[in-house]
Amino acid sequence: MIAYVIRRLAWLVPLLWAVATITFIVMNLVPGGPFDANEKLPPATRELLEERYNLDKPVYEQYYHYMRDLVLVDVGSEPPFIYPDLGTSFTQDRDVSDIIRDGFTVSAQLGLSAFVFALVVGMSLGIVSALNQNSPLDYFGVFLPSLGAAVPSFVIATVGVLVFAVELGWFDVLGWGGPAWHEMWNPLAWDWRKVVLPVVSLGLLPMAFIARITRASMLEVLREDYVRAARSRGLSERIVIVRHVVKNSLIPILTVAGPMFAALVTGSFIIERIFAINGIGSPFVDAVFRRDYGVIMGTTIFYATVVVIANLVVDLLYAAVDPRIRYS
Amino acid sequence: MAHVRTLPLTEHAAGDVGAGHRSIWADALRRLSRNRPAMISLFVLAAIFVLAALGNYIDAIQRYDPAALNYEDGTRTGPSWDHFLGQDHLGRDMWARVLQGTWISLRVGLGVAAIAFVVGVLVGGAAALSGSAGDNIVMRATDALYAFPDLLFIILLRAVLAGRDVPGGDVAIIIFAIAFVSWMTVARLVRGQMLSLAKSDYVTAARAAGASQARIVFVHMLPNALGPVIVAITFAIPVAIFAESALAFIGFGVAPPAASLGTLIDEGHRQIIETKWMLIFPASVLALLMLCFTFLGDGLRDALDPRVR
Repeated sequence: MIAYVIRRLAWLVPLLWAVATITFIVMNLVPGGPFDANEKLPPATRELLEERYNLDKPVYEQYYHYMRDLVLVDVGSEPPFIYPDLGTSFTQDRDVSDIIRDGFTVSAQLGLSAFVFALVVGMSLGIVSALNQNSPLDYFGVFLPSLGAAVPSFVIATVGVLVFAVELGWFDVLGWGGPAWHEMWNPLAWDWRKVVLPVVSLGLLPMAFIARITRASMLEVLREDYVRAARSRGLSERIVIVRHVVKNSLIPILTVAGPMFAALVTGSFIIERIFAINGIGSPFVDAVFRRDYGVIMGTTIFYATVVVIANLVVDLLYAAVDPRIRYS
Repeated sequence: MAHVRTLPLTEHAAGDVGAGHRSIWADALRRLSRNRPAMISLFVLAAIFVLAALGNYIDAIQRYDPAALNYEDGTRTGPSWDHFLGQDHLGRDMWARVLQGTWISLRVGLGVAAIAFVVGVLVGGAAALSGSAGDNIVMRATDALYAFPDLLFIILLRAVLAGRDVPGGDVAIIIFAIAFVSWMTVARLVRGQMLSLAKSDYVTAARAAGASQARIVFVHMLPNALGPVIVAITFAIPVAIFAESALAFIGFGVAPPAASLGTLIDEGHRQIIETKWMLIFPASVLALLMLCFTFLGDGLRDALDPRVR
C-alpha cells in the first residue's frame, strides 16, 4: 500500500514535466508577446523589460531557465514546506507562487464547499429518491436538480443574485466570505450571506449528477442477493440500508467524485467573476489575455498537481470502501 | 424446445453463432424504444436539429438576417408575429439569433463528440491491442493529458488558435480546443472494455474456432465494447455545449456577429434587468438540449447495458 502511494507520487514528477512542457510549447504559440499591449512601450523600455524576464533569449533557453528554477525548490520550515519557483508575473511583477497562494486559498474554499454541498445534498436526494422509487418524492428528488443543472452556472448565479440578493435581500453578492484555513471548522467564522449563492451556483450541476448516480447505484444494490439475505436475517431496515446498501452504492459515486473534485476546485472561474471573488480564476484568464507566461505556467502546473493528487486520493478511497480492491 | 447446434469449426461459421437470435443492437434498440423519456428526448432533439439546420439555410424559416440591426422595428420589443422571440438591445431578431445559436452549439457538441469518439476508440483500441508495452506507453501519455485542468487548457488552446486561418473558422477552433481534453475518457473506457473482452469466454471460443485477429477485433470485440462508449459520448455532447458557453462567458466564444447559445445567454444575462427574454429564450433552448441529451443518455445506458434490468 505504502509502496503503491510512493510509486504514484513518484509518477507525479514525469507527469508534471510533461504538463509543464506541453503548456510551455502551447503558450509560446499564442500569437504576440507579453509586452505587445495596447500602449506601445518605448523600444528601450521594452528591451529592458524583455531582458529582465529573459524574453530576449531564444525559446529553448527560456524553457531551460524555467525548468531549472522549477526543479530547484526552496525548502522552508513553514507549511507547505517546499516552495517551487514558479517564475514571475510580467504584468504584476510579483512571484507567481504568491499570486497562486493568495488566490488558491479562496478558490479552494469555494471549490471545496461546492464539492461538499454537491456530495451531501446530491447523495441525500439520491438516497431518498431510490428508497421511494417512482413516488412523487422520487421525481422531485431527481428531476428538479436535473432542471437546475440544465442551465449554465452563470445563469443560475445571475438569476440567484437577482431573486435572492436583490429582491429578497437574503444574501450579499460581492466577494467571498470564507475564513482563514485554521478557522475552517468553525461555522461562525464563515460569512454565510456571502458564501451560499456562489457555492450553490457552482455546486448545483455536480449535485444533480451525484443525485442521479446515487439513485441508480442504490437501486442496483437494493436488488442484490446480499441485501435480501440481510433482510431475511431479520436486520432492521435502517441497518440494512445504512450498512449494506449505502456503503455498497458508494463505489460508482467515488468514481465520479475524483474528477469532479478536481473540476470544482480548478474550475470556479465563472462564479468567481460573477461574485467578484478574488480567486485564481480572474488572474488566469487575464494572464491568457495579456500573455503573462509566468502566471499561465504556474497556475497550470499547480492545478495539474491538484488533479493528480485528487485522483490518487480517490483511488485510495476505493480500496477503503471496496475490500476487493487491493493495491500492491 | 432446446435446439442443438454442432460446434462449427470453420471461420465463416464461427461468426454465425447466434445468428438466429437478435443482435445486441436490435435488442438494445427494442429496449430503447420502450423507454418513453428517452424516445421523447430523441424526438425533441431531432426536431430541434432539423429546425436549426433548416433555419440556417432557408430564409423563409430564419426570416431575418441574425446580424441585421432592425432599428426601424424598434429595440427590445417583445415577442410578436413580426419577431417571434422579440428583438434584442440592438434590434436584432431573436428568432434568427436563437436558430443560429442553436445550430452553432449543436455543431460544437456533435463535433466534439465525433472527434472524441474517433480518437478515443483509436487510441484506446490501440492501447488494448498492442500488448503490455504499447499499452503502458499509450496510457501513460493519456494520464499526462488527463492531469491538465480542463477549463484552463481549453481557454489556453482557444487563445493559441484565436485568429488563425482554420477551415471552419472559430467553431472549428472551439471544437478542437474542447475535444482536446475530452477524448481521454473515451480512450480509457475503450481500453478497459477491450482488455476485459479479450479475456472473455466467447472471444476465446472464437479464437479457438480459428477466427482471424481482425475478425475477432472488428466482429466480436469492438461492437461489444461500444455500448458504454456510446453512452459516454451522449453525455459528452451536453458537456461540450456547456464548455462552449463557459468560453462565451469569458469572451472566448465565436467572433461576433455570429453567436452560439452560450454567447446569446451571456448577452442575455447582461441585459436581464431590462430585457428578460434575451436570457430566457436561449437559456430555455439550452436547458431543453441538456435535459434531452441527459434522458437519452440514461435511456441508452439502460438499453445497452443488459446487466441493468
